[in-house]
Amino acid sequence: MKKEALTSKQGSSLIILYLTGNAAIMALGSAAKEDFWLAIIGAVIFAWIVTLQLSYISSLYPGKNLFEICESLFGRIIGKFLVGLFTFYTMQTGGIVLRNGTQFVNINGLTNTPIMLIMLCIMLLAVFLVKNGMKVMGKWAELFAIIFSSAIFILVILAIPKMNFENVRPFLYRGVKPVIVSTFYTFGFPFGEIITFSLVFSTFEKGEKVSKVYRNGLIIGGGIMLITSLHNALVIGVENMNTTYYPTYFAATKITVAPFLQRTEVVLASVIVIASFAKTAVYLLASCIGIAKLFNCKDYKFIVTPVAIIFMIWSFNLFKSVMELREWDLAVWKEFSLVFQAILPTFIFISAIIKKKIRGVSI
Amino acid sequence: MFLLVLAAFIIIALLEMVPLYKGKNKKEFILYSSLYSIAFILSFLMSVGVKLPSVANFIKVIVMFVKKGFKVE
Repeated sequence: MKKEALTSKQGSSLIILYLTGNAAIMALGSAAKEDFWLAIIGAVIFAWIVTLQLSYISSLYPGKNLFEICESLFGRIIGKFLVGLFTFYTMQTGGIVLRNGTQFVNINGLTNTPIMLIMLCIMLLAVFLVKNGMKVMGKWAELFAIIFSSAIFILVILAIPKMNFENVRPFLYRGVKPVIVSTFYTFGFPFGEIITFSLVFSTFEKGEKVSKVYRNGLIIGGGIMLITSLHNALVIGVENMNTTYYPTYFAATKITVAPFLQRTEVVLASVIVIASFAKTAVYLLASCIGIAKLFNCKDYKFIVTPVAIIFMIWSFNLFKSVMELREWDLAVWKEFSLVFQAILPTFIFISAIIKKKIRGVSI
Repeated sequence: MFLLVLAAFIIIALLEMVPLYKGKNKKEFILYSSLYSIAFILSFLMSVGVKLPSVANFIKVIVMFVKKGFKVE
């Protein structure tokens, strides 16, 4: 497969947009109530451990992405099976991301527009971006990560007069257990999703370290998530945060700086749609690379259009409503994501260590 | 609706399938045609109002079965 190298800054920018994509509008760590911030920090630490494993694996197989590593490590049959599993994961999770993003636009803005039409607009752009390759995607992300972060910070600063710091107290009132449970949920969505990048990234310009890219992306992305969640809790309170579908959007509606500066939630909605689009594009890219790898094709760009159509239909038929999506999330997502985001990477990591010990330094 | 879907797929075929066929890479053409056919059949079914099954329900059944096996609440 043709290799496209990003700079570490482009890689980190893409991770920032990807992590904050859908998650920035939702309540993270809500099961821990006032201690949600502990759950977010815990999830970032877990995700960092997973990225250390992924960085180690890619250091053993320089220039290869996780799809290629699976085949090199486990051979043709098991390797292809794992490639198929990861491709299924990217299609399913990408489908959920697309559904979530379009549902957000449908509920808060274009209420009478069919969801399929909103999906079509997002997917047309995603196809264009993926067809142009990772390099274009990286350059695009480099610009939009700055716009996205600045818009979020400005909104948070404008909301300071509305903040009540009593909303995040008392500290650990319900004990440690809800924090641990919540950490697992927050790891599954969004921080554990960083696994998708190991399926996509294989090389960086000037031999820059993969671990550095992951670390920078996680710290900044995690920081933005922490700030938006704190902003939500401080402005609308923890109870409102847990019962609202899109708490960040709801909190932004409270901001009125002056008669000439109100309805700032429109700015938030715009940047959230941009970040959701980036996340969808990364999942589409990973799905295309996975399918191309499954059938031993050298390039992935020629299959982007049909895969995008299947991706869109997959996403459209996933759930009938936002309530069904949330019910599925609560019942299934934690276990489903844990398999692909923690168990399989750890299994590949241990297998790589064992193979290294058996065969020596060269694998 | 069906006519719109058909028109869109004809345009895609003209823009992407024809150059791929002329490129003489048989494997790539077969893979593209297979994916294109799946996409077309699914789009056609949706355009005539057939309700397609959700993959989410299939995953839910598997996860619930495993949870039951491990007796996780």
